[in-house]
Amino acid sequence: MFNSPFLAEIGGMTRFAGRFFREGFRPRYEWRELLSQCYVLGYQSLTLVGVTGFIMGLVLTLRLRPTMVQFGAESWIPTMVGLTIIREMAPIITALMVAGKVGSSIGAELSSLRVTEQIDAMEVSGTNPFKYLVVTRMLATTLMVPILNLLATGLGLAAAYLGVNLKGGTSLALFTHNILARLTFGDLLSAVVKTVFFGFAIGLIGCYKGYYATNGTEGVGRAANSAVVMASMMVFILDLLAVQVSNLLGLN
Amino acid sequence: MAAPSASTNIRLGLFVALGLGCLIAALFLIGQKQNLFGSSLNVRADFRNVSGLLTGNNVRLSGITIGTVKSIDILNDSTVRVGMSLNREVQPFIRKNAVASVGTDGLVGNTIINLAAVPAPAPPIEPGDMLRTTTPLALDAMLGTFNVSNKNLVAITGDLRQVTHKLNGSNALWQLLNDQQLAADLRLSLRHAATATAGLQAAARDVQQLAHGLRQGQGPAGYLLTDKEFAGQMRHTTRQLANASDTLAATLASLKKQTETPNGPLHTLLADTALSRQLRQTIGNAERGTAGFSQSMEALQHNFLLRDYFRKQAKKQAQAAGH
Repeated sequence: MFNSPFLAEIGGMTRFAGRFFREGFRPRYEWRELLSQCYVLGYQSLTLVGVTGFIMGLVLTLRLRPTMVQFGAESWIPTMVGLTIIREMAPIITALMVAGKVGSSIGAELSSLRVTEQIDAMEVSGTNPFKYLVVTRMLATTLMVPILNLLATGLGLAAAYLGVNLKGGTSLALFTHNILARLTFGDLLSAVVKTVFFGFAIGLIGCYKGYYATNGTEGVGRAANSAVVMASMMVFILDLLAVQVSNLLGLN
Repeated sequence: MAAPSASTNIRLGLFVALGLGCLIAALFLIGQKQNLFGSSLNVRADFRNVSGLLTGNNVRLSGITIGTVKSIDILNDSTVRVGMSLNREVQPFIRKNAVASVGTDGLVGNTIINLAAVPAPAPPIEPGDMLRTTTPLALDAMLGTFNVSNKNLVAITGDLRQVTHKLNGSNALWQLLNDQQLAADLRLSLRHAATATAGLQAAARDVQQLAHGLRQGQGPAGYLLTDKEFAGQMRHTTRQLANASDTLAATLASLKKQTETPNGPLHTLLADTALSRQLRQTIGNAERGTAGFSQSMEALQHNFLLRDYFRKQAKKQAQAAGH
């Protein structure tokens, strides 16, 4: 049991994360590469995340409506949909989409660099490949996922407003007020904070899988695949942890 | 990796700014709702029971949310001190004598604190003031009362059921209720009764008038009852009467004595039978004597010496009668 590959991978990942913090805080910083990665991983995921968030907000509202009408709680739709999107739906959707798009791309990119021995070449040439490739990407996902989440939340709420107004009418002021009436700092901040961890986990797993890829071109595909699977899994595990922690802190 | 161009940097900047803008706007809106950034007014109130009040619950004045609960501290076994942060804009509208009570937002809603104005003049509230509180309507106490009344209701309905059951089983009652003739009779009797009452009423009115007259001294009875002199006369008369009867009694007594005295004139007159026979004989003789005398007088009238005189007398009488 103690030499199981699963535990070995977790241990390796922990060391990898430790190395990220060690190297990340040490100068010199790769600012230009970080901005470039932020653009690629963050900005270029916006369309995907935005569309997904919008559709989820709309679908959730339309699906919820018949049941709420049955209970005579039509006026509670904005509150319910709004809280659902802000607290759970948008973070999870964003994290999953980013894990799918970015996790796989990081895994594939790094593993192809690894199997073509370019990482080894970098080390030889005096560039720190970990700093240049891993730290920038992990930092980029950690910073970009919360922002993607916020934008997805905004788009999802806009979609919910649209969905509420497709049948029956609610003014924007009342819609906003209904959501704000039940929203607390704890809701919003716990959602933002947990997306930071989601982004970190996605970057960490993608980089780890890519950085330690083996077995040539076959390993590239496996690294990309396992990065997505594991990152998605990790997102849900972290979400579970986030619920527990926010409960403990009394933020629910 | 190619070096990022200026346009990608701008796009990235826009992306990040938009995202952070969303976050800041949301935080600000929530903060505004919880009154974190506006100037606030802190007041306190001591409750016995806060019924599950939580920090952050709303404080309402006349149904408008004007602040939130800031702190809930247990002071001792029967006092909970609740600190409230109110919007400073409502300061002029809350008086020092306002009463705070714990309530709920709807039947299943959040616990809230309601501030109610008291119709007495008082200066506006100041920061740090202690508000008076009232014990709210507790649902469990209400349910306790409801339980008692429910039990009573069960007993009452049980009794009612027995009563109606008995009524249903009673033949006599239903016959009575179904009898049409009875109603007609009853109506007739009532009409008679009404007539009788009218008569009685008239009689009573007469009596009333009579009594009124009596009181005013009208009529013989009234005179009798109201005249003061009459009473004096009456007394006098009765006294006289008493005297007269005394005299009479004395006279009678003496008469009696006389009759009882033997050989007295009265006794002889009343009790002596021989005297009565002689008296009868005497009276008979006198009768015969007077009859003879009457004949003699008749004969005298027809005597020629006196005949003219009697004729004149008869003529005078006839003239007087003619007039």
